[in-house]
Amino acid sequence: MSTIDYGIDLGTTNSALARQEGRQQRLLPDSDGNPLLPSAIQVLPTGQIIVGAKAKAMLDVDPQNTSIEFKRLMGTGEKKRFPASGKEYTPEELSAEVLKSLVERAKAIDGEAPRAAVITIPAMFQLPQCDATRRAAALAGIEHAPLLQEPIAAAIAHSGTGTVRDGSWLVYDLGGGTFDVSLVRCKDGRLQVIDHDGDNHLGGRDFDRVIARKATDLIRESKKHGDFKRTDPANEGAFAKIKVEAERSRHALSDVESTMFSIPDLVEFSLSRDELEDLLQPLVEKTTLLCNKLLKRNRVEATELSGLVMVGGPTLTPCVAKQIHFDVGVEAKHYVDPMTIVARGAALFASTQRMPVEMRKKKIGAAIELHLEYEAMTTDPSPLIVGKVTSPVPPPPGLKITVERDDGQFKAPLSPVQPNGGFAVDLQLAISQLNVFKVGAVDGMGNPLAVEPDTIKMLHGFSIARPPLSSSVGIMLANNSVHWYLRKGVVLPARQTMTHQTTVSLKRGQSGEAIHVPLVQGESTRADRNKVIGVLHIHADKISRDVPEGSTVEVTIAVDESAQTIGRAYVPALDQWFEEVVRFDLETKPANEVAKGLADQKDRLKKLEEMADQLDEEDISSVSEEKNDVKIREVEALLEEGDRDSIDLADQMVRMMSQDLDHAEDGGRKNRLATELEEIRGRATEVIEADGEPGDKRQLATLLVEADRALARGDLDLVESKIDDIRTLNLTVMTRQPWFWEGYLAYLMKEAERLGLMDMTRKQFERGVQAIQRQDFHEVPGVCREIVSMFPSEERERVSSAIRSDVK
Amino acid sequence: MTAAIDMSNTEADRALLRSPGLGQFRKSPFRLLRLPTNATAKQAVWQCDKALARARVGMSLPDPDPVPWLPPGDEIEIQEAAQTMESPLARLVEQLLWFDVIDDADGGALHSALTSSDGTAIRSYLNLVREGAPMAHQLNQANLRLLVGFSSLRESGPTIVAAQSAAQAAALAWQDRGGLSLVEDPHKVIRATGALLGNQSVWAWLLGEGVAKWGELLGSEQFAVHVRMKIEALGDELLGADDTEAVIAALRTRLADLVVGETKIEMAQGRVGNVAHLSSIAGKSKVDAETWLVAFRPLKTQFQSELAELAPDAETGNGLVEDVAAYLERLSTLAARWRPLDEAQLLGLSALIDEAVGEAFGKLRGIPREQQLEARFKEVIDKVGAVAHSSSIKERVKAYHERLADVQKAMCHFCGKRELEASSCASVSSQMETGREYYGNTTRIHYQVGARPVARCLRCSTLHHYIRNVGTIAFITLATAIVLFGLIHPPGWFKSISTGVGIVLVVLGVAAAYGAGFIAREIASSRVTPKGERKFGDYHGSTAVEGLRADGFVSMKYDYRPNAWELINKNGVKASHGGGDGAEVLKTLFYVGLFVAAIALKVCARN
Repeated sequence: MSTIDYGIDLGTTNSALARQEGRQQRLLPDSDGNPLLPSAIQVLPTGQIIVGAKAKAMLDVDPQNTSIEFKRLMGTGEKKRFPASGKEYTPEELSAEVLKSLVERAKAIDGEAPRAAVITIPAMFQLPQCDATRRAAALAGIEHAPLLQEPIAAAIAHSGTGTVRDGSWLVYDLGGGTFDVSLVRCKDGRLQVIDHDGDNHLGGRDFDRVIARKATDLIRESKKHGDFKRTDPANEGAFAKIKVEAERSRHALSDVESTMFSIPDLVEFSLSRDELEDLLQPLVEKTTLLCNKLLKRNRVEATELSGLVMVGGPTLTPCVAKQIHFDVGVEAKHYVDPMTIVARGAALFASTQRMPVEMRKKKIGAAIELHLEYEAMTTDPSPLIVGKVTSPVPPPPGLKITVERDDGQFKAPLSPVQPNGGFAVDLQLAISQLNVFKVGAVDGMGNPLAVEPDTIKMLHGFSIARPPLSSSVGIMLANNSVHWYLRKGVVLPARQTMTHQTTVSLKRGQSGEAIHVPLVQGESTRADRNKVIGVLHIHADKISRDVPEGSTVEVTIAVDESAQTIGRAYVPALDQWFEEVVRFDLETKPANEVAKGLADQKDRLKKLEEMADQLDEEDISSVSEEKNDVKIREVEALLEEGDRDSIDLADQMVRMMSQDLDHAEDGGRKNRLATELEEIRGRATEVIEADGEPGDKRQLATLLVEADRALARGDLDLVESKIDDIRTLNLTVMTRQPWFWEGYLAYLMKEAERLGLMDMTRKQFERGVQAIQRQDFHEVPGVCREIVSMFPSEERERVSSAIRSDVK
Repeated sequence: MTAAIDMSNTEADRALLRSPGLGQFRKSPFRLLRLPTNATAKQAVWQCDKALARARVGMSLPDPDPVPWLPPGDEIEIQEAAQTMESPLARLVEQLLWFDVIDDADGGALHSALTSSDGTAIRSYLNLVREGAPMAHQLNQANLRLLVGFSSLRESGPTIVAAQSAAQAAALAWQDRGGLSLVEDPHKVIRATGALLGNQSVWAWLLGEGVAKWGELLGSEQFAVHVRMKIEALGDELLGADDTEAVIAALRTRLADLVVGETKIEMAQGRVGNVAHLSSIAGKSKVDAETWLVAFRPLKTQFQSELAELAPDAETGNGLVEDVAAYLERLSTLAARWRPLDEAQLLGLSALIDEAVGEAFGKLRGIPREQQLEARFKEVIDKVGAVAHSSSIKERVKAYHERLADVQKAMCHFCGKRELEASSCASVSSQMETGREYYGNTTRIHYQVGARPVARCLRCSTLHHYIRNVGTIAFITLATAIVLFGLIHPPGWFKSISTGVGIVLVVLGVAAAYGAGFIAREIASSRVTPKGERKFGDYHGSTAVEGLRADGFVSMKYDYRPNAWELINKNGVKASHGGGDGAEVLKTLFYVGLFVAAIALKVCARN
């Protein structure tokens, strides 16, 4: 076998395995004929591990020793403890058990366990999560496991099976735990992922979560079970039952109009399809919003699409297709079974991936061993096959290579092998077919020689472009900005070298990490809005001699098609390379930190709401109170749920909220500054012309000229600084005027009255008023300062800043 | 396939691989895949498959490398090239930054010049000046200048300007037109200048021309039409005519990124001369400043850290004014070094300097007022203005000087260090006759009175009050002693003197007491008045006296009581002359007592 041929969909809820056979994919079912394997694990007290449907069935019976949806925690340091056996497993170890089960299935059917398989991952998976998936594969005994993004697999299955479907498509992949949407194009048989978007924490599980939340609300309202806290270990079983029942109800409502949500002695209520749709609407809207964002970003109208392919079990929920049609304006269909389409696509892709040389079975007794290079899937009718004789070296003189199509319709001219062993053969393919070629060799005398490999397969009419990187990778700088290495959308494999300067001197023999830079993945220019996925580090003990501060370090980060990341650093001063400088460590925040982040965003939101009149229409919508209230409530509910996955989801929502607010703050900055400049120009001119000294007037004139010039050049930082300068000048002039202090004292009096501080500050006010009456404006500022100092500290800043806002 | 990182490059190779400018041409899909500019995406993918297959067994594509002096692409770069060709916008950007040898009549010559790395042939192409040349030719001219410019900067590629060519280039043909001598081909002047500059600056000259040419093209309607035609020719549904501006914007950004990328390398290598050249090239191009500012922004952090190294808080041990002065000196040196780097002000270096100057100025303003009036402070403030780049800071410094002068006027006349306080001012008053009226035996004289405050601070007022008290106490003490002596003198004394003489003696005694008070004041004043400050009675040079004199008043009456000016405000000028506080009452009582004592003495003498 020269190609991998096996494809695995390692899903959050279910997994599946398929094998490519010719132009068809074959799903490998279990002994009951079921192609799906629930991604569930139960660990018995003996330590025995049960995988699949049997384990899932135990979820409500033995929730503590059963685990599902561990894929959502891949790449984190979280461990799941199974108390009955006392064992702990990481998410990748649990995933490895699922993979092992699938490998066993293949072994039972095909008689041999696959040593290589293409494994699918969500497009929005971050690099540490990809890395964890690869580790899971290795633990399961899969030695070579190229990773493929799920929407690409679905697109391949959709476009590459049977008749190739040309056109642009949206692949809407709503899995158990993740949502991905990809814009794909198939043109002349070439499949290309134009762009994609998604949410790593949105899937069928979240659908179940909202149903479960309704049930828990009813339980709490009934007060029969106290406050029914999730964090109470006594309720663990009840919550597991609710979860199972929520999933069952959702599935049931795909077929019937109404169902009973029933858990004896706990809760019972009727749930209709309409009610379910109301519950799910905000979640589905999140997905359609991402679809529209993707289309807008790529300047594609919904009418230009050839269709929308739905992938994943949750898309079987009737309201999903309806909502997509309504929001996106394109008909959503299941072209292929949504539960197995990913595994099929993975298998098709696997058939284009050549097995590593060392893993190929070698034919015993072959005289000539070849290393062949060609594209197994191509749209080129006359491709090239290039090769090298790897044994014997040097090749025998006069050696020629023969290639013949097995249908006998094409025979390539004899290709002489060059002294270095290289050769190239031009082929002719039968159009839109699987082409099988026999490869051979003849010696100088024309005698045929056995070669290895002796056949190659090439599929004409369909080929797949390399996948793009799903989110940008960069490093966090000290000023909270990001230095991007690889940007979202760059086609994999990709590589980037950047030069940095050390900020500290590095001493040979010092302990710890000499260079330690956080690695982030995301799209925000503010580093803390992105996810910290690890560090770039160089261990000091590897340094051969001291390196002074400010020395150059060249860091190269490379990511291949499987999202495998390699980082290397070169220090010219040492002429030394450092390998494996990337260490993944997916950041997980504690709940209190997420809650603090939420509180910060609430404050920002409040401020932005106040300045809504200065924002663009789009930005106004991102600060809309109603929309954000829903988000805030959702985050609060997730934090209350308290499990790792919920906290991660809450953290992600807070980050997204921060990014929306960043966008609103940054959006139209130029317009905002121009308006601000005009405002301060009017105000300052009025004040300074009337009360300023000649020097003030000259200063104002030059500042305005400089601000206008900076605005014209688009140097917005400078405009901002000039506006500040004008404001300060204006304030300086104002504070020299009696009317200003008169006004400020009146303002303070009003504030003191509002805050009930009049009794405390009466003396000072009387002094101030008297000073004004006798026109002693030297005394008033001091009195004002005294009064402000008597205000509560939280009010002090506000009343002081009133000076800056030019209170008269 | 894993994304391998080749670690085998030599330092020279790495310099070429790192160069963003050369990378533009090195990694161009049209170079790596040996494609003509009108190749389809499909052809590119097929060619990529072939190139990759060959590369993996150590074979290269059979067609010659169009830019052979640049390192070849590796597998990742070949794949990237194919993917770029599949993305219509990215492909068009690459296409326009590559050599179109199909639509340029001289394209063949250009192609062979490049593939053979023939410096002379490349120079010949560069010297082709065609009026109304097709856009392809104009683009080739601009692109070739970029390629050769970047190559020269990295000291690679063929030599374009040989030493002997400088002389040839300098041989210009002149025409006489209406008495004016004109060069027939003005471009030759530039070429000659470039040649004479020497190889070191050839890159700057070529790159400058290339960037300038691109700047012109990007702003021209003719180029927009050309882009629209190319979009149409691509026939990709993902790119339409309304994307023309997006393509032009992408080109503009790319051009800026190339120049900025090279600038970053030159900065890291410490080649400040080259940084200056590159920033000047950017400034002289017709690409809008906003694009450059955005592109240059990341470099700002490097300059910021250099600025931070100047240690604004470093202490000299000679006080804050000297600390700031030393910092300004360092800042001035840095500003002088930076100035040529950012003449076009795209790096924002002047704003950085101004920011630092602003902070230093802020520190100076926080210095106590008395120190601000010293000459050294003024010198340092002047230095602020000199180092600052922006006119507004210079204006601010100027205005501050004016305010200081005003403040100086409003400073205490005696110490000159602290601001006056209205309640502590002394006063001078005066009166002058303005006319007389005669009514029989009565004459009514009209006076105009005037008074002004003598600026005084609370401390000086307190000091003067003390001095005054010393004098008063000395006077009262001595006078009382004299009176008492007169009353209870030993019997037999003064028996032989007449009453008249006795009175004279008493008056002399009082006068002596008065004199003693005066002397005590002077002694106290000279003891307690700090050196360099005016003594309590030295009001003559005050603005108040000058003001009264200017108004025509001659004789002055000075009142240095602590609240002298307040009393004038309250009671008017005349009333103030008599005084009224406790000391004055005591004094009056004392005179009355003295009178009584004199009478008593007289009575005693009779007895």
